Amino acid sequence: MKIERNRHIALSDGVRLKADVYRPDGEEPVPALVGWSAFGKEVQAVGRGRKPLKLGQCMDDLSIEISGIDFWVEHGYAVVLVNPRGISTSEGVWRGLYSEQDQKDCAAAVEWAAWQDWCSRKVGMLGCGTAGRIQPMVAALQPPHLKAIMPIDLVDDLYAECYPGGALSNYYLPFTSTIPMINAMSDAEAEMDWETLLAAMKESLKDPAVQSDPYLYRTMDTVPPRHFPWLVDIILHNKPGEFWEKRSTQNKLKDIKIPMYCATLCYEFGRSTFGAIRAFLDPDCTAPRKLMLLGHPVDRHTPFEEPNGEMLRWYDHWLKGVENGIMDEPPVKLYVTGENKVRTEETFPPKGMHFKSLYFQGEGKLSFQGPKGETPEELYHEPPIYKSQFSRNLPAVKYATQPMEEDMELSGPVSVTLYSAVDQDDAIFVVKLWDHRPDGTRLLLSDGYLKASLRGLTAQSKPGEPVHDVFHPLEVAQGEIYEYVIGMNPVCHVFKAGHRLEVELKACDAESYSFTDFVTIPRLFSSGLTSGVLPGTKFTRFQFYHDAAHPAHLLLPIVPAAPADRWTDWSGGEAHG
Amino acid sequence: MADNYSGRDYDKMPEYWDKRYARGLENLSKPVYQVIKEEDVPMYTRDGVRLMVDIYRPDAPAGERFPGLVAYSSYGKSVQTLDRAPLQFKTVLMDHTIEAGDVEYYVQCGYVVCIPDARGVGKSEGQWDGLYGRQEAEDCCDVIEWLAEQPWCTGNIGMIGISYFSILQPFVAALQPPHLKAIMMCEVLDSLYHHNYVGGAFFDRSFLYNHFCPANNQMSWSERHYTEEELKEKVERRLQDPDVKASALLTRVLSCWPPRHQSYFFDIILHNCDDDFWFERTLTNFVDKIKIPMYLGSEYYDRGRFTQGPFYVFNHCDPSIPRKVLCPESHDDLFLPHRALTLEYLRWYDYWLKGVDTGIMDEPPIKLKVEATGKYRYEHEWPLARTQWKKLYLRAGGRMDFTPGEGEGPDTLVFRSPLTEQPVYPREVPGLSWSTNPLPEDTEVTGPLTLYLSAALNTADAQFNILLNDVDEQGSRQYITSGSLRASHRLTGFEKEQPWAPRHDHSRSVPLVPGEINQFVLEIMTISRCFKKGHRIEIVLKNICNTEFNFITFIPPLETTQYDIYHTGAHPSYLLLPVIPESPEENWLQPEAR
Repeated sequence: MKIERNRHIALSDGVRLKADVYRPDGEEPVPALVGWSAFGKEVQAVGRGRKPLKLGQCMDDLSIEISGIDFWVEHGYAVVLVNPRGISTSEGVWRGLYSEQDQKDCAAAVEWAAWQDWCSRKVGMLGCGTAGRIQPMVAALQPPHLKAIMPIDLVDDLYAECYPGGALSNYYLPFTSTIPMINAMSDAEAEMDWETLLAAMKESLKDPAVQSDPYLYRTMDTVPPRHFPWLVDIILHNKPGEFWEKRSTQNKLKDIKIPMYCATLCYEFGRSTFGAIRAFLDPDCTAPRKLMLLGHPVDRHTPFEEPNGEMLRWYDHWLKGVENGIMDEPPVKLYVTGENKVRTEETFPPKGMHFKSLYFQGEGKLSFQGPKGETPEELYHEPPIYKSQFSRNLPAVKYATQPMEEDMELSGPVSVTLYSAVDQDDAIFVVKLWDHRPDGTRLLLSDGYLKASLRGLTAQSKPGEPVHDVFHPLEVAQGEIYEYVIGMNPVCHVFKAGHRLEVELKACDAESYSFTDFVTIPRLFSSGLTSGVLPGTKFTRFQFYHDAAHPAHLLLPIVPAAPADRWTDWSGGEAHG
Repeated sequence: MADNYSGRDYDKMPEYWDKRYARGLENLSKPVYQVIKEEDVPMYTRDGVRLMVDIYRPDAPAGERFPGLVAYSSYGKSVQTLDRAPLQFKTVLMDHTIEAGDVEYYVQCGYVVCIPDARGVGKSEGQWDGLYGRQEAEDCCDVIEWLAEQPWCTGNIGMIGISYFSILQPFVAALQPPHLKAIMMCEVLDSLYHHNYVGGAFFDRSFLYNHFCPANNQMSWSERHYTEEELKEKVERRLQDPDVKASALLTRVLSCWPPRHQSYFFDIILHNCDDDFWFERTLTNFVDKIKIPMYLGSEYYDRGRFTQGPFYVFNHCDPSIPRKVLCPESHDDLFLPHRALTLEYLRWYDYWLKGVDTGIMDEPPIKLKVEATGKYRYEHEWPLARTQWKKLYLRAGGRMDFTPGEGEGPDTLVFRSPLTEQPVYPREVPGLSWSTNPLPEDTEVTGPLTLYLSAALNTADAQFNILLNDVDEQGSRQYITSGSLRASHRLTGFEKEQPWAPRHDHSRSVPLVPGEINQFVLEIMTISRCFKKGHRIEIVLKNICNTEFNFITFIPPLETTQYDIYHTGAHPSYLLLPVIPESPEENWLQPEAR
């Protein structure tokens, strides 16, 4: 292997980026794989000398987004890792995740790699997390030598990730602090005049959600706002709009002309799973595409080597012309948790998926039969900021099916329709979907959130996929029952016979977390503990109805059982599951 | 416990007041004033940098003056008075920084409270250079002197707040600003190096200051003090250290150039030996310059340098200074905002700043809560004169006994690196443990603990991490405290030949000879605890100081480490315990019935 450190990539505005190149010995030109991570290039090398660790068990390792550096070089590829501007050792000013500047700079880095002596003029990209998400945005700019991409993790709508159901989440707080910005500025500071900026910051300090979180509060009371500028942008851009669209994939798909293999995990929280599925399905995109769902984050390791076997086949085909049949295979590859095996499909949700309503019933039951129970369930929310004891077991109304008599696969979008009355003029609903195993342990599959006043649905809504009108809040009259259709994260999971499907209705997702848990956010999600959305700051009583007039239900994406010969074991990567 | 939203329980006499020494309590300042808040008041340091401060003062007619209390930190002034219930420190990290104390109450009782944004933090100008440096102490002096001149201030100034707010205080006092009349701390660090490198073993919690300190402009001490070439060379060398290479966090921070990402943490990682960076942040270098009354306090902490600090200062400062020590609780019991000691602060400052005498200086100087008894006790010296220094010898079969064994051991711990060796590693960090038999009677241990370990390693260097547990009859473990040592930091001797005060050379690593048996002497953090009859005292040796593999606060090695622990006549291993026999009845505090 040859390693070239700190090569300069000169950008058209004079800023120089630093890049490391790992490439094979020998004279033969090789394709380049560009890794563009907000965590910088230096930290990626830490993964080389060690085994992948289970995600969340070694502090801070989620910053290792590029895996398999040695693997790629052994297989005849050059790996080019770049520090974005304002990150680690590169010049310039960082403007937050997935900025337009980063997209353009990365396209320039792709072209730089293409023209190196050792390069075959064919370039792809690699990496997960931020290094995955940037890929389709770069591809949409159509740098001439970018020939194929394989983003692990995509983000269709970054606003929805920062404001799930319209409620502010501090999800990005820990990420922000681990991004090695050496020179950063928010778009807000760069684009607003100074007085307007200060006024906007002062206004944000009145938001009860910001007041409830000292980290956010401090950030917005720092002048100039250079403490976590990325959070400044998140808080000041509190509605959908151009700021978010520029940093999201959804509107860029029609401009992607190169083959794209969308891969991700089935995350309970966040937009990666939506992003991959929607990019694969988008009808306006003409690029050849595949989709791979890689299972549950609880199984993930960092560095994330699991997809590399498949990625090798992908790039061998598109960058080296190897006829390995990858495009002849069905386009969708699913690692289905519960069954813990792989199945291919023509599309996602799989053919034969049909929605079925699972109804809430009194006494904590869930049933396909229909709603039942005249007495509403009650939930009392005490805002954490007024509590001296912070229990791990936050109030929740729980519902569960009987143990399954046979396996049930759910693959596709999930939504829940609630009928609820509250005694405040707004509230936050939190819904959690679990697989409750016979041994009593649980696996968290999906989260959903909604701010009560934002329950209005737009015309873009589809079964299982509500889209809410964030610009027109609706009245929440105290004590009045409203219908709430809450979108949840997609699932791809088999409930084995004997398991129960469990749903929790909560008002607060920020359970107590120790020193330990705070810094291992991905593990948090799969354990039911999460930073999630910031909880409401008013004492609130919820009533949940489930009778004939108020048929509260989950809409489940049921897939008929696949015969045994459709399943294969996972192969093509490191230990899985 | 009852859910007391405000955390204020000020009507009753606190449990740490003794009725024998409380007199004239009716003269204690009462909460009679309304509070005026003046936000974003500018003041200028001696070098012309504008700091923004918040002033909370009593609503009183012009001409009426009050003593001042300064609460200084880099945590941001805006979050010190956020309206929330006190949350247990351990459970919700986000509240760690509301630490100035019950600001509103002090003002109601007739004090001015001044909370600045430190230089380079929040709304203040200038450049932040991390915690407890010379710059910060000087800026705080400037704030004190400025505050003393304000028309509503008497010119008698004290300081309040716990943790950061406390640790800075003695540094400020050592600079002797004329109007600083007394200080009161809950948390004191005699050595910042030993807090971040416990016994020379890295403890990387300090990366969190990047979260807590809203810097708007920052630069590391190292970038200021070295040339670019010098600094790059030091960084390059440090990047090659195995413990850095194993860590994504350390690699990431050290690799930045210029080093403006977590600039304070950058300094900490870079200076892994006790060197010039640490000097100005090491209280032992300045403690003799403090000439004002001090109230030194700390919770019982399970890691770091906290609990040692107050006792060190108590014993090493100018002996003519009036001073007190208080250890009120385990840090698990700590709630933030911190209101548990408000009345003690009030009584102290009423005396030293207002001349109101309620007997606080009549008490014996040291007040300790003896854990597991629920009671406080007075003492006069440290360690306690009546301490029985007993050796608990490591024995075969994971036992510890007051009598040594012969021909036993060694005990071996093979620590497989989770980074290279284990495909799937166990949830629990493996360790070697030794425990006593069930104690025949209640046994009080109060003072510094010291572990003498005879050991051979298979490597040239390693970390020892020792956990101390209290194990009850059912076998439930309560983790009490810890101690650590980097094996290559050699023992140089003992302070005043006291076997409980080992000193090591932390300025350099001297590699060991693999396989050679050496004696290692570890400081274990000070405790005051009654181990109940039937309980067992247990120590556990680990490579990394965790019960579980989930948040690694010490860096695990990349290679497998084997520890062979010897406990024979020629190579003894024992825990030196400060056992306290019966205490005179009058030493125990007599609070008013609650």
